[in-house]
Order: sequence, then structure tokens, then C-alpha cells
Amino acid sequence: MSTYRLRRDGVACSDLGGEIVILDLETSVYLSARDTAAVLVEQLVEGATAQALVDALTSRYAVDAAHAAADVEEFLDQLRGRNLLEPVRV
Amino acid sequence: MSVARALGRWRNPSTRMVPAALLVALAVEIGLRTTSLPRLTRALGVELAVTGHDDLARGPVGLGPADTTRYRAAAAVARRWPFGRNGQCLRLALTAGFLLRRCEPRLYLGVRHVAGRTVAHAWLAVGGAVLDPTADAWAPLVRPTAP
Repeated sequence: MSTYRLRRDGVACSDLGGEIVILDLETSVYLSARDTAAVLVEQLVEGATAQALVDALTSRYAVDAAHAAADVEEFLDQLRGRNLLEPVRV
Repeated sequence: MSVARALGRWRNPSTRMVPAALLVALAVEIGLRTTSLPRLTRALGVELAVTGHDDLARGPVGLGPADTTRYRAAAAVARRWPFGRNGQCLRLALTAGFLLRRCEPRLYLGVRHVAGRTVAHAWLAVGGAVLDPTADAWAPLVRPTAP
């Protein structure tokens, strides 16, 4: 299973406590991640598989794995669409 | 305005620097609309710092009279700049950064909550000291790295 992380080059972020702000320096577009999205971004700073992200959600929120997996996939698609993710080479 | 008053103002070094700052601000405005921030900062000779700045000095910055004049001219232009409403801090930092490019300027970006909204700010550090006295009120935007 692929491991992804938030792009290290051309991206800057800041944790405001419950909200993580991401700035794509190339496009000057800001993204704000709150609540469950902030949990996922926290994991993606270090690098995580989709399954690890699902586990992070199910361990913190009362959500079933299938629902969490769908949300994670949608979130990853959004980040990929904005070119904010990069694969982690192991 | 009388001629005498106009001449009096012109004797002020900051006023004489304003046309240069105006030209730089115009170039910055075009750059912000046509290229990415990393490219623009490189072209201006300003380092885009995506690190924290806890290591930098605070308080009065030891800018010499000429550099203080340059910064004041950039600030005067930024205050009246008609474009980029709510984005004057970035324009000021880039314009002043170019004018102070010999002092190793670094551009910092940060965010904070104001009245329930997330707002962004930009500020400059030169010669190892933060120019903006409000800088510590902002959470710097830094490159994402694992703890």
C-alpha cells in the first residue's frame, strides 16, 4: 500500500490548534483543515498510508471503517488534485 | 500645497526615496500576478523563509539611516497602494526586502485567528532581526516536517 505525505517543497503549513493552515507557495492558495481533516493532515505531515489514516479516524471518532475509508479516499483525492501530496519512497 | 511646503517635504530623505519605492512596488505587483512567490522572492533577492524565527532578535533593528529611509519609503508607498486590499503586508515586505536586499532580508508568512476568521500576514527580518513588532502574534507557516 502506498505511503503519502504532504509535499515538502513549495508547501508551508501552520498548526493553529484544531486547525491546520496549508499554503501552496507555487499557487499562493491557502487551505484550511479542521476537525477530521486536521487529524488526517497531521498524519500526512509524517507520511501515512490510506489504512493508517482510516485507523486514525476510527480511533478518534465514532465512525465505521467503511465510512472512514470513503472519507479518506475523497480527502486524498482532493489533496492530489491540488498537487499537495507526494509519495514516500522507502 | 505651497511650493515652499512641497520643497520642504522633498528635503525629507524618505520622500526622495518614494519614487524608487513606487517603481519597486509596481514590479512587485506585476510579479505577484504573473509568477509564483518563490520565484518572485528569488528575483527580488529576498529569502522566502519557511522556518520558524525563534532564533532571531526582537526589538529595535539596527538599520542605518539610509536603510531606515528605504524602509520608510516602502511603508509610505504600501500605505497608499491601491491594489491587494488586505494584502499590503506582503507588498510592503517584498518592496522593502528589495530595497534592503544588501541586508539579507528574509520574508516570513504567518497566520492567526482574528474574530473567528483565519487571516494571514507577511513580515520581514533583516540582518538577523525581525522588523515587525507584531510578528510573535502570528504562527509562522513552515515547511512540513515530521517531528
